[in-house]
Amino acid sequence: MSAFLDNFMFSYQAVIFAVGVNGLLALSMYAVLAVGQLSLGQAAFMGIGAYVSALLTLHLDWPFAAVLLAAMIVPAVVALIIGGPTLRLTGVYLALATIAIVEILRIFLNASSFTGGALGLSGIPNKTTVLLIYGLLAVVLLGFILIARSRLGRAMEAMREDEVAAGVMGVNLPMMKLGALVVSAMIAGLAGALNAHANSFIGPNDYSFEHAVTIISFALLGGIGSPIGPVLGAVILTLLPEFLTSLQDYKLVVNGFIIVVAVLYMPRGILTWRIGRVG
Amino acid sequence: MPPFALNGIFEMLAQILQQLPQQLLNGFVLGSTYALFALGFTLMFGVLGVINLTYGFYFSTGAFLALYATKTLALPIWLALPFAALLTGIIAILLDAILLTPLRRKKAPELSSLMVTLGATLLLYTLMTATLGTEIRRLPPGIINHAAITFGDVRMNLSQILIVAVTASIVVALLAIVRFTRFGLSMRSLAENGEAAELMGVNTDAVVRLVSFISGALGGTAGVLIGLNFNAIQPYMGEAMMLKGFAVIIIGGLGDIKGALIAGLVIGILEALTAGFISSELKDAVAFLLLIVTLWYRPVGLFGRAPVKRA
Amino acid sequence: MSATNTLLDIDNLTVNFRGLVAVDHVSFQVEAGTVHGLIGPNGAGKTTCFNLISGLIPPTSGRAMLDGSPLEGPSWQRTRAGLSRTFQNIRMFQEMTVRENVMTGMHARLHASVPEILSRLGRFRKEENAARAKANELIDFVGLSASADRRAGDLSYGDQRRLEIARAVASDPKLLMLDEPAAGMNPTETRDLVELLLRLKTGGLTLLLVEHDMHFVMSLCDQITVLNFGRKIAAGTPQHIRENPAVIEAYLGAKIAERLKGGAA
Repeated sequence: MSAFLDNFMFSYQAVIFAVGVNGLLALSMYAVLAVGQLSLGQAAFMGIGAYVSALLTLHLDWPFAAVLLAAMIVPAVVALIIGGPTLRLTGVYLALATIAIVEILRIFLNASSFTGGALGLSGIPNKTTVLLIYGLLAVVLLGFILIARSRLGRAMEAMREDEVAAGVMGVNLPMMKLGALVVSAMIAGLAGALNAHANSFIGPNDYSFEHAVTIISFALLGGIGSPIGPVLGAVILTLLPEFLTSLQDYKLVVNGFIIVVAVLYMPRGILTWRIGRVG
Repeated sequence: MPPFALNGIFEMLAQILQQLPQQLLNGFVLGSTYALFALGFTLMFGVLGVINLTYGFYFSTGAFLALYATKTLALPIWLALPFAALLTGIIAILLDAILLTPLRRKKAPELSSLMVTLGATLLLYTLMTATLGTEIRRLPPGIINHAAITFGDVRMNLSQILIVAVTASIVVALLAIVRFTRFGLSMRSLAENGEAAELMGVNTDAVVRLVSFISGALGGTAGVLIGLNFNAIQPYMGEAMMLKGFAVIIIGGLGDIKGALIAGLVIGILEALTAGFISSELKDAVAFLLLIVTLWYRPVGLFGRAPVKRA
Repeated sequence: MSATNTLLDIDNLTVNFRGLVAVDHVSFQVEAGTVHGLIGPNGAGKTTCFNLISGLIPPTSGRAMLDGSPLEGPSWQRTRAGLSRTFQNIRMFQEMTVRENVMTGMHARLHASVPEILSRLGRFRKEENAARAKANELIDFVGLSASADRRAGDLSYGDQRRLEIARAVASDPKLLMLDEPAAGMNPTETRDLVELLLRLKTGGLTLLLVEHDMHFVMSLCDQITVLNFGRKIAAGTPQHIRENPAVIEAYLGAKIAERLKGGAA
């Protein structure tokens, strides 16, 4: 039996890791979508987390827990810096600002030799375990569910529906938006670090605009009525190409198609249930 | 300071000064393409109120259509260009009808148009790569005369002249249309308040279609010209262009024609200077850094207007 | 006792948009425990005034004071200071239930922190239970108990208006601003609304309302301020306003006002 499991793990480890990492990324996307903002910067935060963690492990040999912590804090700080001014911007401007951040990051990573330039960093030790990824995913998911079923969850839903009215209800809009962005950055950074220590190699083009779009498709598929939606979306979109091997090359097409269909015909996502609230 | 070091600095300065005019010219030409590209983009956002991410796709499409026209149909460049522009404009109308008009009818929030065009972009680029491959193509050699005019240290070849000429005439034409024609008036009223415009009898659908066409045609034209100038055509060329296009239209002000022109030129020149004198790898960052600065201090851009909030 | 206690003090409030002066040095006071009406023809600037007072648009000059303290900052700060409002076009959270809408209105008064929410300890349970109970009370008060768990978007127009009021009162405001609460209502609904608002007033709430229905205004308001073209043209009791020639002229036009004056004289 255990031989079978070993074999299974060996063949499918990459996918199992990917599902967990994508689940975390989907939650990071959920955090900002839940307050009605569209940040396309998840990929950048993930990249920052990945590079910070890889550099700390490769050059300073820090313990993994500290590395993960750093991979969460640095993106959070970046989010605080860019979030402040961008809060004044309406949704589209925030989206564009975050696209710009992703691009700038990609350009600098490509150009800087400290980060390995276009070749990236390799030889990163495999410290991520299945237990770790899924354990963290469960913890984060639980946290979101607990928050959704509270006054903050109501405030978030209010912001999604009608931001002006939410403000009039007394919801501290800037704080909520900034908080959401910071939380999203932390989770994306964590996902990036976990991913970096699962694949031994990271490169600057792993965190591009296309990846930001892919992450959105998880949330769109799953719907954002509940934190579970985006996670399910991530699971489906990560596993689907594995089962339909002919679709492998067309993974992006599937993602793109899903986004188009979702926005046009199912604006509330394919899984449309709302999380039950307290009250 | 030791005398030879002084010499070194003087030499460097002399070199810079010598190269400066050429770099400025290159930047000006590059900026013109950015401006041309941004024009269609900014019209789309200004008038139609959509961030259309498939716009980059029009850029690539235009270039490939010109490739087809010159290679397969053996058309000369001055026919291939309008051919590509026209067809791209039609494709733009189609995409708008499929993706954006339904959203407009449902009065969906603007983020929806961003997302649906995001998805469509993925789709379209992947299909394009799947059918056309990713290798870099070139327009047939000799498609444009490689003659150039030279004044002093500066050399400007025919394709560069073409770019500047096309951009200038289009900008003038657009400004004239917007200012002096009834269609321009319809565009402006649609930009101000779509619902009111409709109530006033503006044929919204027709205006939308025409603006889509013009935008697509402009994007396609820019694609042909850049493909000509840099002699490199590949599917994802529109992608990089579009991200820069964002920067140009935000910095210039959404919906503003002269803003797109000025922002495009400024970015082009700064990029050329960066590539020439600092580092060619960092040149792409210029546009985005300027974008961030703009969003920080003046989100509406140079000529944009602050939207009025209503309760 | 504190009958002449000024709750809301509006002092030379002005705002211009690209050259158009929408509100022009408007000043008035609302006494605590009263119902104050803000009326005027369409486009007079009434809703703009509301938006200025509730913090949705920044004034060009002038200021507002609530209970002696200046009203500053964005709308959410003003709600926490004791201001509340409804909107001309009902801004309901459609996907939430009636009760959830009302509980959202209490946001400013709920204080459970993030750790408490995550651990479900401390203030969280007590606060949520109390909030739920209070929401039920308010829903009863406006007569929507039967619909407490229904999706807000499914309610009838009149019911949505009541819900909006319940939600606005949920934050325990000192002053409730109502923007055309009777719009689109039939006579029965309007009568019920008057009765509801009077109950609120009896409960100690101060009301400032914008309304076009003159009968509604006259029967409800203690004091009225009249605006036209962004300026205050009259103020006083309903009786006074009814007979004020400037007001008549503003609503009916100069010619008719002349004719009425001639006829009355």
